[in-house]
Amino acid sequence: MRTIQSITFFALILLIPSLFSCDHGLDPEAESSLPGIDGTVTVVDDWTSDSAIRGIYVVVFKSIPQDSADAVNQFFSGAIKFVELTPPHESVYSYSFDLDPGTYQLVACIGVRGDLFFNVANWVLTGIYTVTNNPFDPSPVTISESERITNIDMMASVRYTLPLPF
Amino acid sequence: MRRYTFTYVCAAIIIQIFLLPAYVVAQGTISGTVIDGETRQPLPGANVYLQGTVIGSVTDTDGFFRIINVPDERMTLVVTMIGYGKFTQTDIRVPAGETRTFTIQLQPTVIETAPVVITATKTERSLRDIPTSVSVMQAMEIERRNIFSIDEALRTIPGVHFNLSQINIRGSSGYSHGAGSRVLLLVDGTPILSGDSGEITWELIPVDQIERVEVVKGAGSTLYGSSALGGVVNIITKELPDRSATAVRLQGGFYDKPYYSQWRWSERSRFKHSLHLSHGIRIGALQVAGSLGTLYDDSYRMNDSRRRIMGYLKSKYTLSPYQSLTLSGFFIDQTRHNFLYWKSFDNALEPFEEQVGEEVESLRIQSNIQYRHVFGSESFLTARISWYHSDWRDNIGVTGNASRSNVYGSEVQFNHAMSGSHFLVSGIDVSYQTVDSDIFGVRNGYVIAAYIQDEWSVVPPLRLTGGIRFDVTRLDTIDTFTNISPRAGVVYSVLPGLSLRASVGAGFRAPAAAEAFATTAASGLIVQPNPDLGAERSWSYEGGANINVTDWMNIDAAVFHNEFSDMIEPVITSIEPTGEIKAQFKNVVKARVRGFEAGLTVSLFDRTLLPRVAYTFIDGRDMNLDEPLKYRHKHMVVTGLLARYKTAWIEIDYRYHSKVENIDDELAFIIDKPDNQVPVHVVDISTGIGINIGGIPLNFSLSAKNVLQYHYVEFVANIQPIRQYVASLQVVL
Repeated sequence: MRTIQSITFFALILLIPSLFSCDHGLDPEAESSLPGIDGTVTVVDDWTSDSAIRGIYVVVFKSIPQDSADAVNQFFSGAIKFVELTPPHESVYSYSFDLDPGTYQLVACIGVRGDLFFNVANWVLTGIYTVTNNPFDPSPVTISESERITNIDMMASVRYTLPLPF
Repeated sequence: MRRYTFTYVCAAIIIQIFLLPAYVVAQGTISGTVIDGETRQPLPGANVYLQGTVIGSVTDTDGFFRIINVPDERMTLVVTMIGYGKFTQTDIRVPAGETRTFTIQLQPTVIETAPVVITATKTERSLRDIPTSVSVMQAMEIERRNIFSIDEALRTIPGVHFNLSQINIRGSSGYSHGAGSRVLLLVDGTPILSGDSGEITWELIPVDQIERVEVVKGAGSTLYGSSALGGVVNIITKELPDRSATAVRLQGGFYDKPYYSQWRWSERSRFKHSLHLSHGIRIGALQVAGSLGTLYDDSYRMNDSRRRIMGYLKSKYTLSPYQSLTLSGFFIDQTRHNFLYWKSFDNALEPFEEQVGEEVESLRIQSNIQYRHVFGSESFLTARISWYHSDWRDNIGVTGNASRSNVYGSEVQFNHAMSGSHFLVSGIDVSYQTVDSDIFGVRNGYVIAAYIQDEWSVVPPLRLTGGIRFDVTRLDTIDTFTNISPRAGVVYSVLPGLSLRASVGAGFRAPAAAEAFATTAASGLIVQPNPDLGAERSWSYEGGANINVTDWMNIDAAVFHNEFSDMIEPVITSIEPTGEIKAQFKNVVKARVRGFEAGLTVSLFDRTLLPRVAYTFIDGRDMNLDEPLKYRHKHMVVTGLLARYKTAWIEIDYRYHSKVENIDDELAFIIDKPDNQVPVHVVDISTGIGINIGGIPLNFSLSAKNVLQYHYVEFVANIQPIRQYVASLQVVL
């Protein structure tokens, strides 16, 4: 009987460490291996604290919204992804996105003039991703399965903003 | 005339209270010591009572007990303690004025599989005799974990997980956005949910006064009404002492630094400490116990510190051997800073900058008066009135917010053992609530309910249970609605070591005032009231088995299937051209949660080593959207090992939760990387020893919590406590 008890005990002891991994969980230093994009945003002019633009976000659109309401609706359907560039008033940022595979029609830098990002009335376009150097000609980005695209770099201007394409 | 009547009634009560002790003092006394039948050591914490009366005792640190006011008639003395066989001595008779002394030896059981529980049937039953799954956590298990709030210990119960302070039992709850709980919290059978938001405040519960915690899994509205949608947690407080005793408990600890240097926001160490003083006394027929405590927690996160003062008082007046009056209450006065979400994943332990300095002050008071009259070995009447007051204010926003609510409850319960092996539980439950809030308005509501349940021992191995409850609920301007909650169950003891169970039951949850009447606007999000909000409803089906494989191994397994309808969720109702978003709480979600749970408990080497492991599989689906339910873990494992040698012990707890499959997509609007989630792996290690210095018993323990320094979230953008070390010292004088 004691043999059976001993076997049971040691089996349970072994079970405990085998159940957990030795990592430390969430890791801010880990580079994602998931599909997505990485890049930089360079703010070309002096972004001071008295600027009307309170924050800049990198926003990825599956399709270019038809109007403001459509933009907000796309948020709620998960078709638009974004990341805030922090802290504000810096001149160069690195950003990183995990994205589902597919084609994204617009990768843009959205400046926000109020407190709330999803209030589209507060949005201004400070820059887009383009390979033609034409700030009115956004370049789509296509991500295939297990692909991480780097160097999706953009220039942003807080002084000379662009009209929203929707 | 009415004034004279009132005066007469008051005088009669006062005379009864003050003259009865003189009456009862003339009766007999039973005293003695309870010891371990093998080691001959005294056993503190054993329950000693006379069957069919309200008089009893609990042994002190010397194993001593004393029962006074024993009537001069043939009585049955019963002694119970977890981990030991029940002791019964019949035909005891103590003539008036005399004392009989006993030395009672309790024989240890190899494995404790069937403790007595009360919550599932509103009467004391062996765990083996009830048709639903119940987990029990005893006082010693709570003390060993060196906790500051009871929710820390509940995380180790199979099938239970938390989304911040919101408890989930077998995936029933999800995250209800700070309004409404789908699990009902009781303290000694009295509901403790706030009148405004219907939430649980775990910090309110006096940890050092808990005798045990019972967690009933599955819908329990047949006996408890609203909020028992996914289960019931009942905190049973300790019995009152027979001799004067003072205890001091000091806890102190600190948080380690986060593993990643970029998350280190504070240069100094972050501390956490608490002090509790408690005292119990008996004066004739009056027993009183109280405690006062204070806590300060720096927290491991910025703007997350808290300080609180809490108190507890319980007194029992034995009017006669068959009648008692119990007054109890507790309060917490707390100030805490406000940490809502991380500022960014790169600064995961810091809140949004605009939140720094935000804090919430709250005062919560609960009080309860209970009268109990015993008519025989199992028949009794209990009448209870209660009051729960919640008052909070914050400095969030331009003007801040404030809310004050009261819940006044009353219940009369009658348990009656009938001839023909029937046992009846019936009662009437009436409550009234008021809310006065900046956000929810000035509201009131009431609940009137009646319930009845019959347990029928058809033949000794077969026990059937059937019950029904009828609730009438009114919440301010919302139309009055009625709810019928039936329940049926069966327990079949196939063999002495094998029992099978099955049950079906209904649950419901009336909307909280916070869900129906919230009117607030912040940062372009406007929350509007919904006067058409209705109740959530559920059906729970369960089948299970409890098997003693050997005298040192027990397995409990259950399959469950729960259907939920009209679950309340916040819904965006319109998006204005300005970008403003309007939202309401609505009855929208139809869900199904099914799965199974299996637990193994082992006792090795004469109870020196006690390993246990339990696994819960949960398949929760949103039937409207045909996707996984939000904030549920599909796989959950809790395992632990307790090793004991004389008065020293060491315990290791480990829990695993698979990664949550679905969250609110809308959170991406305001939070950086809300979907950054990982599976949960948490290991806690505690050790302790009991020593006696100069006749004074001391208990010292040391804990390392989250010893792997594993960073994870229970709810989006909220890193759970990082590694911390806690020491505690308890002295009983």
